[in-house]
Amino acid sequence: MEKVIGIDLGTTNSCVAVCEGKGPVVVPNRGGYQTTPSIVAFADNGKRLVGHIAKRQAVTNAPNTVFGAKRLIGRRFESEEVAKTAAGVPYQVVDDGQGGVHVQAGGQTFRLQEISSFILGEMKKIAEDYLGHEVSKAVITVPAYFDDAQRTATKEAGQIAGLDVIRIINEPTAAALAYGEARAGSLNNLAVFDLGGGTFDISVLSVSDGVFEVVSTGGDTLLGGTDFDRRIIDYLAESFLAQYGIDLREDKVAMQRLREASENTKCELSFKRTAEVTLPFIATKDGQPIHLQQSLSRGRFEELIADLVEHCMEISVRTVEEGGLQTSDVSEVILVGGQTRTPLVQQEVEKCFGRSVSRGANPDEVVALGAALQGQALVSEDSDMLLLDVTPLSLGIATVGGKVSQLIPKNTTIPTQKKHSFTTVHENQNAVKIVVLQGEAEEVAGNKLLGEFLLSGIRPAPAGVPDVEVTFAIDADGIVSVTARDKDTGAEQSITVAVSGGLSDDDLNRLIEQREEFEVDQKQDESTGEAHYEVESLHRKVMDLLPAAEASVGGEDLHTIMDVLAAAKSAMNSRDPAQLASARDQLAEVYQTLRAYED
Amino acid sequence: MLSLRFALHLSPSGASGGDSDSSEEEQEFDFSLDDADADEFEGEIEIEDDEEGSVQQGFEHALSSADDGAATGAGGNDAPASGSESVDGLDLRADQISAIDSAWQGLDDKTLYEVLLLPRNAELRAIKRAYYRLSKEYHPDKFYRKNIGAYKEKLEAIFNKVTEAYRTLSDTEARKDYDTLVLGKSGRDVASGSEATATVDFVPEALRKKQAVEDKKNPKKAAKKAPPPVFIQKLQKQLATRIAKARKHMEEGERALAQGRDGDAASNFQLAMTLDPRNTKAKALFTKSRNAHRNGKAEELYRRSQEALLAEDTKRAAQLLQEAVDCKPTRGKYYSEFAKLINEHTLQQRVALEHMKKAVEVEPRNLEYTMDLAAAYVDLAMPTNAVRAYERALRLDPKNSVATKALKKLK
Repeated sequence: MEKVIGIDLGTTNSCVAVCEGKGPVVVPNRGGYQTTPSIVAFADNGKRLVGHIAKRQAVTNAPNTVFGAKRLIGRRFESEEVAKTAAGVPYQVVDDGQGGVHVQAGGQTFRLQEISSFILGEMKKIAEDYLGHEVSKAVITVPAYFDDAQRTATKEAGQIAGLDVIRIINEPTAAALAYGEARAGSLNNLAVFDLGGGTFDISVLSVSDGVFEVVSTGGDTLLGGTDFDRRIIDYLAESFLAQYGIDLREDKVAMQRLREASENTKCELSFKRTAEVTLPFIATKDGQPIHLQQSLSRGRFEELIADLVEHCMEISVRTVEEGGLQTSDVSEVILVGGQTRTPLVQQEVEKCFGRSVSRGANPDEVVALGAALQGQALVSEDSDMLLLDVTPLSLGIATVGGKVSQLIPKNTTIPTQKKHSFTTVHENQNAVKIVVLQGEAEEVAGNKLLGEFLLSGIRPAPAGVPDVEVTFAIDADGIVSVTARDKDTGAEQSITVAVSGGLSDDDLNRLIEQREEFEVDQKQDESTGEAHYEVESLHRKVMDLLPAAEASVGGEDLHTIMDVLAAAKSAMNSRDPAQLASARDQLAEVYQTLRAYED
Repeated sequence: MLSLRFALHLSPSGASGGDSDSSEEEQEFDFSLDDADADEFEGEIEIEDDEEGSVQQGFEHALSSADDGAATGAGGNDAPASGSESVDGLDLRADQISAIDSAWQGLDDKTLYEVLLLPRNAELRAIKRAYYRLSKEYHPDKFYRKNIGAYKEKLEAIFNKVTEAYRTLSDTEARKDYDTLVLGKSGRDVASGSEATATVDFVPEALRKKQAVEDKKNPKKAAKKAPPPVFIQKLQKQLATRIAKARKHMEEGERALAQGRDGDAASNFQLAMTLDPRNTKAKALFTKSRNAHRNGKAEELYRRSQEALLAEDTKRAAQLLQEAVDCKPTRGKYYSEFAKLINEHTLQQRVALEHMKKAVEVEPRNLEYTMDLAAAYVDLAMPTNAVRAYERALRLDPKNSVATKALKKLK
């Protein structure tokens, strides 16, 4: 059976797992770490760096280091979320010309799908190195609250990275799969409280006999650990500003150092009462270096983040109630995501649900493990596990007066579909525009625009006569599709789709080609590097032998040898594969000859 | 001009068996009536869309009693074809095939209890267990990326129905509504599972008849039976008015048609159709009368354009021809005449060409238009197109010497 990898594509860190004999295991990267930073950087020499190596150079190369791509993927440029994210990152976030988002780094412009594909490609490689063979199938996780555009973009990122994305699943659901895997039989209600680097999700599940039924799901796509960091950053920067009149947030390099220090401080405060922040030479004033030195107590930190935590609790209670349950009906609360390590978060969750929380599983790894399990369940013949997930957002269409007519309410089990009939308002009207929205607001304006569909080619007829049946479907990945059929003629109706932010097939194929080209280039680079090394070492060996052999080699031969050496030099300079290859062969011959003379 | 919003939800039980979503709905937005009488129907008739289908069932009930056979129902109960098709090459075991077929058989006629294979008094826990068990059997993921052919749609339909049953019956309120509105309080009191799994027809029509028989048997119980909810009564009344109104317009329209007043007939049929969307006769008659009306009107416009030409009022003639084209866009003659007019009086050969192309497009078997078009291509120095047009002309009339000569010359 083909192996399926499970990838937790996180805001700050990503993790890959695979099912082995006993169960799923996390695959460590080459550095031995279980997780890999979701960071892509472009070095001065044009090299692309992903993961720890990218993170290490982030301070010195801030404008060319892209992190937090998950906060931007599948979003519209004019959205508030993009503005908020763009304001806090050192790289350039720009409009793609169609309302989508591009980022600029290393002198190039990238779609977010590309950036994410670099990370996914790295995760794929990590798994392949571990397994010793190629993998192509993957289950990728997304926050439960991701809308259609974000899910589609994530799937596209996987495709660009050369993965067959067999399923997109929700992070909290994946966590529940990993956690509840061992237990079967009894009926249980679980809550998964997932506070990661960039997003907050809460899901309530009923579990019995291998069936995982998501009862309700809720969250906030723009609340996570980085917001906690941001509170510390602002606190430190404000006090520094008050003391020295310098705003560190305006200096990209200082800001990057501050960001790292804040994240470390936050982690330290999870097990220490106070943390010391020391950033020497952070700024200069009147030619004198200034250092940042400040201590932060856990109490002060908790004051800074109190409203964020409270916001999470409100969403949690609401979500449990939407599932027709009370917090007391929940027999187990699973904490997922690094940010749940903060003691205040744990305390509040325990208070909210009236029970102690489960911390058995490693919150950073549990999502990837669950994704691997789901992947195995899909491809294996005799799996007893079944996931019944829901759509987190209501799907509706715009009607007259800027109102929304809901077609598929949130928390509907997926896959699902809904048929809806459309007709015309005017005589001989040949097209109907359908505006598809995702969200809970009653007004069109408060929802996310999924796309505008033009039902065209309607037969000429009086108003109200044509009967076009449109099917809105949400597949198991949570991705929406629309098909139309003329009910009178049975003909498939042509639909012009203008989905916001999605890639066209052409674009997608082009990006896949680019990735393949890049891989070929990289392989070429590697083989060139190897050839270069061989030529270099042969060259050195020949030079070593030459003085001793000079006497025995004839004048003519000596000339030939000098020519070969000169050609090798120029091949090494040009790095041309053909030249290198011929130089290597010639050098090898010369070397053999000289060795013969030596004997 | 009055604008009203009207929403109809029709025929969940009569939907064809292949529909995977049984709570199919039909909705019409904002159509307008010029008729002053129409304000009788003012107001909003809107039914909340609901998962359990209970209100729709009630509505269907109301509709079938009101429309008095004026409209045809949506096709009756299509019994799904049994699993006789070839299963060769499918990744399905024989037991899976028979399980899917038997679950799909009569799916739309089953009560939600029957779908879950449960008795009417089943407890919440039992409902959940049944749902989980059936999901493990019929969820599309259990057949992920397998070649299951037409069984894919069946599976989706079954899973949708199972989910709908679970969602409705596990919600106390929704279950109560379903029990009273759809199954009827004094309907079948199913006490045991075996009885529940037997296929029992629950099409409202049949249910109503059954109810009437039971009521006769037990007049006391019938008297105690709760009346239908107020909104259904209201709907029934409104529908009855609409349908009566529609009938009046039908009669008026037929009279007008007999007297050759095609325009009046068309507008009456249109009104009847709008008032009673299921009236297919009105739709057919409307199309017929409107076409007749259009033909007459277009011909009249054409005649007047020829008069204008005689009076040397080119501008007026062009205008009238344009109107004729708009009125009857499927008639090649108007395009062709229009093209000639343009060619004679302007230098816009390309515009004329477009009209010639249009004439050929709507009447591809007309030799004259095809020849005209070919000649126009020659004039415009478009030999490839000209060759193709002459070849087409030769297919229509193989002995056409003009075309043959022209082709020879072109080649």
